[in-house]
Amino acid sequence: MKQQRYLFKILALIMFGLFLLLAVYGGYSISTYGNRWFSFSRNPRVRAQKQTVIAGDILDRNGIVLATTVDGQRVYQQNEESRRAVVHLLGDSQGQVSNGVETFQTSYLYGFQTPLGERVSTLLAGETRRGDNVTLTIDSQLCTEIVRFFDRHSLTRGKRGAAVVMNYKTGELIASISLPNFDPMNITEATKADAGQPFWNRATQSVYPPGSSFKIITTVSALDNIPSVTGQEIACTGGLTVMNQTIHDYGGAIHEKLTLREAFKKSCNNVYAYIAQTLGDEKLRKTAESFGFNDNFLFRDLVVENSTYPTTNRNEFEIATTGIGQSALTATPMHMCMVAAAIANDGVMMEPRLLMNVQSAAGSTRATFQSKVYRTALSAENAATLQSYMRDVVKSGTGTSAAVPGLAICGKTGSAESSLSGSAMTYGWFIGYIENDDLPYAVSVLVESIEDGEGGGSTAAPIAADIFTYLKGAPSP
Amino acid sequence: MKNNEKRSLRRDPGRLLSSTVMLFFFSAFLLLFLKDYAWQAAALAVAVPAMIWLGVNLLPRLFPADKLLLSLTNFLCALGVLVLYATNPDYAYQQATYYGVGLVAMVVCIYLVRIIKHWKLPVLLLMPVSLALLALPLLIGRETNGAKNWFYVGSLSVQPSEIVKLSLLLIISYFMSRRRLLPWLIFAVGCLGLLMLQKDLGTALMYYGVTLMLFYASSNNLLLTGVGLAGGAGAAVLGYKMFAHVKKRVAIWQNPWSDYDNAGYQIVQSLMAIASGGIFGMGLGLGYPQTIPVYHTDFIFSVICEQFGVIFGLCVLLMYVAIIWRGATTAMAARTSFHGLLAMGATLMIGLQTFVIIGGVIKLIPLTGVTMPFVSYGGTSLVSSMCLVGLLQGVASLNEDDLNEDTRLAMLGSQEGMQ
Amino acid sequence: MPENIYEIISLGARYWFAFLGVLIVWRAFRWLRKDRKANHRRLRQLPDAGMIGEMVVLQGSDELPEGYAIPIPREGVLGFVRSCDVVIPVNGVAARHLDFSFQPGTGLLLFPLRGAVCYVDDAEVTHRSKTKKHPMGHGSRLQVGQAVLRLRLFAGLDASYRPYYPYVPEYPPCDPDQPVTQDWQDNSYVYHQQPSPWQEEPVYDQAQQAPWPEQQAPWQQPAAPWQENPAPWQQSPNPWQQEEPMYGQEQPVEESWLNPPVQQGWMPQQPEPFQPAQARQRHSRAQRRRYDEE
Repeated sequence: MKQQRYLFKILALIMFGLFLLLAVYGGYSISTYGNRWFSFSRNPRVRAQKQTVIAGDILDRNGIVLATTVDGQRVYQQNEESRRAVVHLLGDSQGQVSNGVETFQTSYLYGFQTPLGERVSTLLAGETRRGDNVTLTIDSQLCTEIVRFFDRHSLTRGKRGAAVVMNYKTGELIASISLPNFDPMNITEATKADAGQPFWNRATQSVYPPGSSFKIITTVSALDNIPSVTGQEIACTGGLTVMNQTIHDYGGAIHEKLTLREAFKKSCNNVYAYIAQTLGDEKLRKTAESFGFNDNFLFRDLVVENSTYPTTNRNEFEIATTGIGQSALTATPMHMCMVAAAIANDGVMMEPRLLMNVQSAAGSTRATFQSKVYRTALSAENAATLQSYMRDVVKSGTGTSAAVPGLAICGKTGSAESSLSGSAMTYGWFIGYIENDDLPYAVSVLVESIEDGEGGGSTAAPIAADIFTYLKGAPSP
Repeated sequence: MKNNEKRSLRRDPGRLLSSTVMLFFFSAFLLLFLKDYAWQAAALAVAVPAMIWLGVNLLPRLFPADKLLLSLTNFLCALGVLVLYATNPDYAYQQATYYGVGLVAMVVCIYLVRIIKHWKLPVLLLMPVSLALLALPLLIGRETNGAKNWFYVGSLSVQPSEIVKLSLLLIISYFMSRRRLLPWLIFAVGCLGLLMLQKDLGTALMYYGVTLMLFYASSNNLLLTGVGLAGGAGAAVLGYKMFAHVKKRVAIWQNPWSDYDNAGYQIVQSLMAIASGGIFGMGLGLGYPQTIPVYHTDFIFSVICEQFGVIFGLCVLLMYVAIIWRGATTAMAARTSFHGLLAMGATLMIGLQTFVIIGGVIKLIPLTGVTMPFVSYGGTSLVSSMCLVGLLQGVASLNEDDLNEDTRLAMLGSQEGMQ
Repeated sequence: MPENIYEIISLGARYWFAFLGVLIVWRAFRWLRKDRKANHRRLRQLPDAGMIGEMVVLQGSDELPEGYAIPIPREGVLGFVRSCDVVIPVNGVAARHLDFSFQPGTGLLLFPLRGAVCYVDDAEVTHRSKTKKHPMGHGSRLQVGQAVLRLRLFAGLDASYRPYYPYVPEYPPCDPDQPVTQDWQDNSYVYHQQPSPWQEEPVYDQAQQAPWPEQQAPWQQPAAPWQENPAPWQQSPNPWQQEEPMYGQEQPVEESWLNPPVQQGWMPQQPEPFQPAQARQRHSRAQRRRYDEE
């Protein structure tokens, strides 16, 4: 009996533990995923609210109205080109684009956050309720321009791709486009059946192999883990054979002996595969995870697909190819832009944000948002080293076509090969930033299925150069 | 002195609690009455608090009842009626009837526990009867939601696993208190096998958990408990490998959003409802609880969360915790091993059932079709939950009787000593 | 009611419901805590609560000296280890030796666990034997291992079984001048101040017994001076302590329509005598003024 009484106490404590688990798990999941669940397009409560409430406006940072409601119809910008450019950020009223502002900020746009007093006064005045107006951090003109930049160059005209521009000091998203796009005012069956999947937001939802742009992270890992790596010279023989498979350089070049700086500048695959082998899987993964790989991205304003550093099927060849950004590595253009931003911001990675403020229909401020540090990706010294390396790339390396006279551009090109989707495909990358406190912008450009023989330097870098030129002329934040 | 007494009376925790409960239901039904001026809501606004008042004030006259347990179970039952009325009034009227029946059943159970001194004959009779009852749905049952655990008596649907859980408790606590291993083991394994055949996995999990926990408490044999646990885990893995629907359930649990229109529909709607409620809820009588698939039985907790908010959901959880606390206290104060095991078994059954269903609703564990005790719609479920509380109350009243007897004897002794 | 007005009322009411929910939980838990305290106090005042009797040690060990009385609950385990309800730290007792359970009307039934043996009034009881044939009654003697215990049931407990020993009064009528009779010595189960009859003269063997007084058990040591002259707050009954009403006593409770008198059973035990209501005093306005002036 005595013992049984004691064990009853233990059983009761176990039950309390189970209930504590319920409360903790429930509270945690609702506080982190609550908004995502709520704004899911199938929520019947939102659909019902749309019948009774006039949705609020969406504005960009310069006050341009991107979306408004006229006579119960959702209306976007007049100019078709401009409304096509921001369609993936905004989403459409039909909910075809998942997690655009139109769906993800439902609680503001459809007045779920309206306090009780305001509702009473609306009722007494006999008006129809209006949702809150949301001001975004994006520059819609830049978005329109970027789409034009893609068309300007012969190598990228008509290609699918994505581009992201963000302020690396605050994390504000300045522009984000995805190609191909569609007209939200005129969605037809042909749009839905399009093989190019125009509803797909390639900047945040698609994951791509980062290719050579991942060498930034390999370099950081080498700086951290291999002593005096900057002073060593590493031989490049034109082909490194690992497990009977040879890793070739871009264009079959043979660089002979290279320092780390030169290898980074010339984007030498041999050297980086060798470095990855030397580092080993564990250390490289640790550095990648400090940059946010394998993390569950739970940003406040954006839904970004998680980036992965592979953890299964790790043999020597896979490790070596991971060092040059191949293997099963995946990342979104948004995340690679954050990587460049972290280097530019002396190692501090800011959380990307899209909402500037929210105002009620009457004009009073409902909410303002602050910048938040997402994580510290690397030390300030390593960031300084990487900054000089990336400056070299644009000065005299693979990314010379991104250079803009009068601006200190730093960057890294990349061309990644992927056969995940059946047929082999090459992606051109450029990630970079302006080294200037008045123009703190980081850029990442991705072009899908580029021609054979082309790389990120010849396809993505010119678009980045155009973006930098535009930003130079634009008023500073 | 007089003043002091008055204050102590005003602060009597039992009256404070029951009056708060009555106030809650009066105001809630009044609000629903204001919505469409249906007389039924006004009637319930008077009837439900009256029922609670009667229960809390009448039963302690028959036997030393535990008022706290009474108030909390009354609250939860009436909450079920309230939520059902807000979603589908027809269910609410039936539930209110079952609530009355459940109260009577609870009193019957209390008297049985108080009166029966020798449990050998009842227990031996119960064993074949309950096994037969559990086997009935396999023969004449109907299949709903993949599980074949119902049968119909006339127009009344009966779920025998809810009734058998009472006899399971009686049987295993009787034989465990007598240190007989084989009889209850055979019975429990038979029950689990029949439940597996009916594909009623949630109930099987509950039976298994309660049996294992009671075995551990009665024997303190960690080794055998570990063997039992490992056997259960092995059976779970085997079930996962063998049954397609188990695999499907687990896949839905891992990512319901991948197939939100078909397989994951229930859980996705539930999560959306909880998230839409937010901290304070969408308001009683507002929102769209009817869009959750089986909102009246399995997903009633998400309806509560949607209507009253996460805070209130947490309060409901804490009420179950209070019931468990009280049950464990009762079990520890029991004078005989049998009564202790009975009380603890009833407590664990209520607690585990609540955990299994709420955990399923908030996606902590795979969803299994168990009802939420006291709250969910369903006559058998409500009555059997009330019977469980009746067993608990019976043991509590026996404890109170014994303690009063001890007090009487002690005072007798002290008076004799004085003389 | 129009839908939009109801919506706002309902949205306002949800704070009220949340408040009530929190209040209910708060009150429930405060009640639990209060009850816990009250229960502890009640059990402190009733040291014998749940006990049906005691076992007096007739033959024990150093840790369990003769004359000690061990309280016996209604059900439990007897054994060597501390987790048992009745702990007998004597050689030959198994860690968990036997289960016992009290049946009103029959006596204390013993169920030795597998492999254990005990003797009730010199009759052997094992886990195979029909234990109902050997219940222990008031005065029965139990032998487990090397320990010999005698059961005393508390007053008011009904056990029809009586041992076949002749009735022996607890305090035998004996003249202190006369030597103790043999008959009394054999059947003695009362705590006795005299040395045990079977232990004629305590033989002091330096090798086996405790050589220095520090190793003596606390109850064998002489009382410390502060224990002989205790301070007032250590005295029993404590003259400083306020008299506390016993928990089980009826508390005076004011009756009202909300709190009707609680009775056991359906019928009131005795009809209440009819008392005419006191006529309300009526004062004229002049009288009242007179009162005020006074």
